Amino acid sequence: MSKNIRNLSARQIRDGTLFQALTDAARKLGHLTKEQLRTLAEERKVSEATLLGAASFYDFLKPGHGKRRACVCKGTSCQLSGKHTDALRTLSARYKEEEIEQVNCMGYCYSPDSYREADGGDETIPYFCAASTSLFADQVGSLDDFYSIVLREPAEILKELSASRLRGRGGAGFPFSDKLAACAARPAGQKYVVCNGDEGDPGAFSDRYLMEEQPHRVLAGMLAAGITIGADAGYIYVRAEYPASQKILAAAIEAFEKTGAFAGTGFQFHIIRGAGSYVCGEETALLNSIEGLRPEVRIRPPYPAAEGLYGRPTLLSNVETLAAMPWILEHGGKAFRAIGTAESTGTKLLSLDYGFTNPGVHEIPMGTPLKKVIHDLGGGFKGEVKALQVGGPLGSVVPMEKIDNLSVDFESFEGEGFLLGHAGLVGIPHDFPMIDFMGHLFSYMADESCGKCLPCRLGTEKGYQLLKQAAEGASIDAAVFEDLLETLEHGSLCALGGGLPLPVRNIMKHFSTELAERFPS
Amino acid sequence: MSDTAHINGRMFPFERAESIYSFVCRHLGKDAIPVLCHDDSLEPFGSCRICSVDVALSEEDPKRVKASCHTPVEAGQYIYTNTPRIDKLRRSIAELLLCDYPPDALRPIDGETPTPFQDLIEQLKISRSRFPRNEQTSRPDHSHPYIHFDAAQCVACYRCIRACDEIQGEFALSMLGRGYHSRVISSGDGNLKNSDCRSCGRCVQACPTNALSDRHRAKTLVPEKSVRTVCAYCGVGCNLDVHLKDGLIKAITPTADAAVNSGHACVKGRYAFAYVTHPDRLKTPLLRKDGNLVAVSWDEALDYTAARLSAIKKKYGARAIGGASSSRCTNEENFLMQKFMRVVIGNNNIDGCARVCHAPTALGMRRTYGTGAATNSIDEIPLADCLLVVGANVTEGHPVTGVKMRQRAMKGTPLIVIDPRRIELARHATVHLQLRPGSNVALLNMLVHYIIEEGLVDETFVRERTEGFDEFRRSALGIDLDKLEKITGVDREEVRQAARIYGRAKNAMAFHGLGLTEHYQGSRGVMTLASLVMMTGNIGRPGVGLNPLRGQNNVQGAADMGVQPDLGAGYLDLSDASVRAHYERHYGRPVPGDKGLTMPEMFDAAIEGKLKALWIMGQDILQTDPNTTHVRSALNNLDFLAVQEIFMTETTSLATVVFPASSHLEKSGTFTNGERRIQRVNQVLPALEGTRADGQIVVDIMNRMGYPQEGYDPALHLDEIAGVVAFFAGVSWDTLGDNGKQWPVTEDGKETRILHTERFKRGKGRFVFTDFVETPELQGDDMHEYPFILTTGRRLQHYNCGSMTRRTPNIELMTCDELLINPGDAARHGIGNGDRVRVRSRQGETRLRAKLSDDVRRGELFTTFHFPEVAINQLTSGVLDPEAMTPEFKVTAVSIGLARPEIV
Repeated sequence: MSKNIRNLSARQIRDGTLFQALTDAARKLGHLTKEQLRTLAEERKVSEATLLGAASFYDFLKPGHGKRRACVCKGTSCQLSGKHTDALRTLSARYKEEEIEQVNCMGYCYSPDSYREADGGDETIPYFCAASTSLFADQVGSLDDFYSIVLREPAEILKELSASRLRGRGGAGFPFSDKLAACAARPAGQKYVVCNGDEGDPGAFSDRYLMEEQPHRVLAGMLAAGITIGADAGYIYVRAEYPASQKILAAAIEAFEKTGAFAGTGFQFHIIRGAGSYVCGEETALLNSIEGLRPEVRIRPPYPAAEGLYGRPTLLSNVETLAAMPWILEHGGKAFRAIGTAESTGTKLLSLDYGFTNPGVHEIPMGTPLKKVIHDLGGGFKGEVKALQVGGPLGSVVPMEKIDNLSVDFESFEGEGFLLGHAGLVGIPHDFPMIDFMGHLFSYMADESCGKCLPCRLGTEKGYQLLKQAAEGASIDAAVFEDLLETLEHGSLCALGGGLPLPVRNIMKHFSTELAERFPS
Repeated sequence: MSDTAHINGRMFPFERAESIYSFVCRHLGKDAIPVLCHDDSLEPFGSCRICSVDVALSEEDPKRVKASCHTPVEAGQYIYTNTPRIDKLRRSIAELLLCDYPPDALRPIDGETPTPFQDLIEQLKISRSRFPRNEQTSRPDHSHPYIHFDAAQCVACYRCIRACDEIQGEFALSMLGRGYHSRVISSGDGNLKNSDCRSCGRCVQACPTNALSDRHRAKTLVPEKSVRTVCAYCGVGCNLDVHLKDGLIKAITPTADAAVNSGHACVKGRYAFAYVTHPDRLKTPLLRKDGNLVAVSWDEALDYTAARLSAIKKKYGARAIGGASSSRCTNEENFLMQKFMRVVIGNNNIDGCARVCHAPTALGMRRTYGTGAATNSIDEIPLADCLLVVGANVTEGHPVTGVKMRQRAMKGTPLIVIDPRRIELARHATVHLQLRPGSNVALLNMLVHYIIEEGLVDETFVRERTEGFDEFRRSALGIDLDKLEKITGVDREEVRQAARIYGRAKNAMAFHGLGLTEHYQGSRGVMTLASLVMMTGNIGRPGVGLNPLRGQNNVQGAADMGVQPDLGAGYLDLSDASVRAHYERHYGRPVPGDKGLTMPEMFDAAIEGKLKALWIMGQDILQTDPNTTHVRSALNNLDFLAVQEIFMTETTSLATVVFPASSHLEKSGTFTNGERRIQRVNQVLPALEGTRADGQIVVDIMNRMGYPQEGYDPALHLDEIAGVVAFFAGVSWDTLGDNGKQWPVTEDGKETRILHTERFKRGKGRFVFTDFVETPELQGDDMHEYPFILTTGRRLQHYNCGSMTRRTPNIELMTCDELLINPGDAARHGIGNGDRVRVRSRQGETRLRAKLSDDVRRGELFTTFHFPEVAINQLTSGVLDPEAMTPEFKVTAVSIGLARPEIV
């Protein structure tokens, strides 16, 4: 992380973030030219190398992106279901090869199609509620009334959040009020709220649901966080693959700016439009991305609460976490805690993909048995499934025989050696070879690794090569593979490399028979 | 909780906010934890993970793997540096790296030392990789004359990128793409030579492999001997380690623990040493016979010279002989030269190249503060809350100091740049006051006006430490802002903003260069700036002051040693009989009291026929002094001209006798850098056969002319200087130490980092106000014929007349002097990029290649004086600062036109 570039970038923040200047420039021609890079480098007092380095990181800033007329999702759900292959076939009849862009999940996992032409349109995401009270689905009504819910004293907000025992919904499950308190405790001065709307996990679309269906809940949560920590600005980072979310949030911000809450607080919202990179969902990479640096993962400490966006104290949280705040402030922390289990309170949004009979976003109380989710809420699978991918490629892989033992909460999953993560649920068809699924996981991570730390940079690529060879019939030395997993697990700088071994180990443990031929002892 | 933690079962104390790596290395030694991406001079980065260790909160708690380079130690922690799983992790990472690595790059090349990466592989005992191999397809980049890049050997540790950012501040390097396929690029992913790279070589030094190497193989060289000495390319005074093998200089690296440059250098210091062994080096004395310079023996040349000088002295008197000393030579040599002129020839006609650069500084600061030297030290830059740079292109002229300023400015320290040109630093300036050349005094008057108007005067400081402020205040408030705004071309509100930034800063540090001094009102500009510094109380503590940036390596020292016609060694006034008595006691001969001639006066005297002989030590005055035609007629009119040089130059071509001198790498002595630091220059090579140290040549003549002077021996001369010069009282060769000492050095050897802490050298600081006066160069009935103002300076790649740097591969980095011209002006004159342009002044005319650039304003031109083919000083004027007698290099009225192709 370059302190110099960060400082130079921060100084011109009034002209928009450096990252946004890059993406705006690219949007004009569909890609960035050398001339544009030089001009921007001159304006922003950085260098051509700096900007080219940053721009070349993103899929949507690469040369060729400008030619795109249609998008095909190559996310996990679309690949497993065969939708991906179908889409390519459909589109190749209509477009030239260079006009079709393949992207890592567009959040249409619930839908029968895995492609969109142009930017796609606004679509309603199916939503089901299995909880007695929904935290998210109620219509907001008068904006003035709605936003006034969060106009409370910082200490009161902290008290309610502490009472709620809300845990971060991004995957790590960190107590949210601790984060808020840590930011609030930093000396007064410029602070920021950053909402992580870079929902990159293939198979997850619950954040997309919130941003598109309940944008004011997200914004009100950010405002509440801002009031608590003493921040006057909030950035919401939205994936490039979610153009509708960006549009809807922009309209919502405009509406917010007509409310009394805005008049009273002056709180400024900014949308940061991503440019196609999964690792930007990692919090420090996301901060680097906004600052216009290469979105490589930063070392920690310092944590964002101490030195976040532009080096200032920053509350950085996931969409669903922040969106829960208005409900908590309206009904009290205790009411929230009354839902769910003792350790995992509240409700959780689950994303069920097209493989389920009832695909869509399901809001459930934490602690709901997984079996119930699959069979009662999801209505079972359309085809035969041998395992469930939970929480995306860095979550876990649960074999069907284990679902009886699990309930949807952090503790239950951890206890059984799994991870709930961001709670996207994707069924793995019975005939899909697990060696290919492992190859898919490694290939995905090799593709999305930022490349900074050596274990992930090299380990994901070499692991993918081993698995590719294995898929073609070669066998893998189990000791070598185990060393590789250990290196990723213990050596990686962030969860992208560090989280990969868990689902891989889940598979190796529970599907050892299927894999025996590939890993001869 | 105590501030101790356990390493491998033993308890040790740790320091606040210390990383585990630093903690462990401090107690168990540098090799206790292997590293790859870590570099002590860079911020922790945490990418290689080789430095991982096991950490637990107690002996029973489960261990967690942490990268030690960026994880802070916590009290009571249990750290394990070599558990089996840590060993395995390190080996696996190395194995992953190794599988794609070129096999032939895993071992050092015969006769070379291993790279840090090769050492690591050896240490981890990895011989093969079990992972699948990807074939490398990259091609090495050999475009750059010094720096080579071979991507196949890159281990993606980012050290080069971080060094270019965190130290040099250039951002010439970055990574392209992401993940496994990301790779290091320069600028727009072209070759290195055409990139933004400034060739400082810090990336090569940082790279742990030979992915980045240099033509000297500095990183893996096994030298027979390494000698620490001081760079001779500017007044920063970087320390360099010169590495020798087979009796030749094989490489130079900046000294890691040097106070001045701590492991950094510029392209000149690190790379430009090939001139030392260039075949053009003079190896034998030359004597003019029948109009031609012919090789003669040393005895013949010396005897002849002694005889001619004696004869001229006898016939025309001592005042017919002049001496020009050199800021490139050592203190001891300058001391000998002035002593020779004063006690052997018997006059004060001694002057040096400071006359053409910082004489106005010496005069201006002496008059206001009492001494003409930098008040503070360069390493205080990070302590300043505001940096003010007046007329100095620091990143090119004083690169190692310049990048320190840039680092602060990029991190938010307010920077005010006063310069007609948009120099590199101006890019990061909070305010860039882009004034018309020649209007410094007008602009500084506006600045002091606003300091007063905005109530930013430090009244207490002014009352207690200074005199003459009331009058100064009255004059400053009485200026005609409308008029000055018009003259300077700078909006008054920008000046007000600069005044606020400078005046409100807790500690503001001012720097100036030749853009302030080389003017008709040069010394007046210095006095005004000195007044600005005083009125805001920015004197006498760390991170403040007025700090002249010295152009050549020993400008400070030459002046200290008495190389000026009015003041002897240690700046004592020779018109004072007691001063003369002081010198006579030490020199054993009478010392004349009449003021001698400055260089410009010597030229005039030569043309008038009054000066018959001139002795020049190490200066190419014909190329570097202004108004070449005038200088040439002066030299041609002499009866006798002796020149000490290392190469034939424009000046030697007119000499009667030429003495081949040793280069600074072939002799010892001391240089005094711009912050008064007296540093030891250590002889690296034996003197090239046939050459002698400049000091020895002077000694040889002294002896032949009847003054018994011991042979050139810096230690011996330093002892003599310590007796003569009060502020050298405690200086001796043996006690100077590796990092030298900043004068004044008291008898007990204590140095002085900051001047004027309690009182000014002259007692009270004196305010001097001067009204702006237009330079005669920009007046006259013929002004309409010369609508452009030409200003000159230098570039990073070359030094002064270029005689040294042009004889190194630096020539590939900058091949000729270029004329910077605003695109608007160029269009109006039909001039395109690269076109040959004829430039004419009242004095002369030359042709050079145009470079269109927004860095110069309309009506202004800029070029350099590195190349004799262009000889830009044919154009520069005879206008002098009437008090300091320094020529106005920075303002010449010229006209331009496209040169007709047939003349090219």
